Amino acid sequence: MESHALPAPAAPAIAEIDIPIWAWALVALAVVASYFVMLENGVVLSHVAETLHEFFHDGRHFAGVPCH
Amino acid sequence: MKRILAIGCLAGLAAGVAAALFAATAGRGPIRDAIALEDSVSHATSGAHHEDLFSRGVQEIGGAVGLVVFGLALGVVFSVVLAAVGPRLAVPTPPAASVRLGFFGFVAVVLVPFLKYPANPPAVGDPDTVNERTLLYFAALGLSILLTWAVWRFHRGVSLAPVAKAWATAALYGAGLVLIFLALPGNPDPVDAPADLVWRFRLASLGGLAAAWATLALVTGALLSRPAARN
Repeated sequence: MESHALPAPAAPAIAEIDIPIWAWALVALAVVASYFVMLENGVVLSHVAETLHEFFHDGRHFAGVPCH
Repeated sequence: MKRILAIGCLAGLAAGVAAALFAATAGRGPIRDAIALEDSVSHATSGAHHEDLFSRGVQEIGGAVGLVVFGLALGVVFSVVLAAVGPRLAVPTPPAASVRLGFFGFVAVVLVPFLKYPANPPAVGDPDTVNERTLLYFAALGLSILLTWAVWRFHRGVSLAPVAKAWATAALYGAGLVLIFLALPGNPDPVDAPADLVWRFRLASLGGLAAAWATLALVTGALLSRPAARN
């Protein structure tokens, strides 16, 4: 929702910058890490996943992601 | 870029700690009750004792570690997205940009998937359907983010009078939500745990995630508003 009552700011609140490619790589890494912590059930890691799954078990339930 | 990323990591850690504290307080009771129920049910049906890989205490610590790691990852994603879309948000200050992204991020990433596939306590959930449920959850999450992005593009791109634009934007988002909710099948698992236990657990879960996102957005905003030594 843009506020039309306020005059448009002279400069954007966050300066326009080029996002370097390594920053996006870091985002991809973060998403993969989240997958292993929160969602892995054995599709990628097979039985190692069970250990990961059980260790993070409470956090998974609490974060609302599907669990056994 | 490095500054905003460092801020995102700090704020993400703080968000993870907030979620872990919430889980250790509000979430602990329902999770313990649910596991006690789960154990009594499996004893009654199979008679065999289910050997746990980790003790309750270790799982509580592991859960907290998981939430902090997850918070850190969320902080990284949040800060890069903020750097990317921040210049196109119609807000006067960096904290306002952070809070706005935090609000819409919470709705898109947490609230909408939660309303379609609400969190369930440990006693609920069939191990045989976990991959199917994970896929459905991903679908809800992906469609929700896609819808938010599309509606945002529409709002930025369309030229209408302000009131008509607000109505059109709301209608588009509402229609998209209805489509997502109708298109995706329901959770295949029966929820046969006591309703009050499920309810307490869901409230704690949603509260913890809201606390995490609020912490993420507010800490990012506060740190961004400090004068930058260097960029």
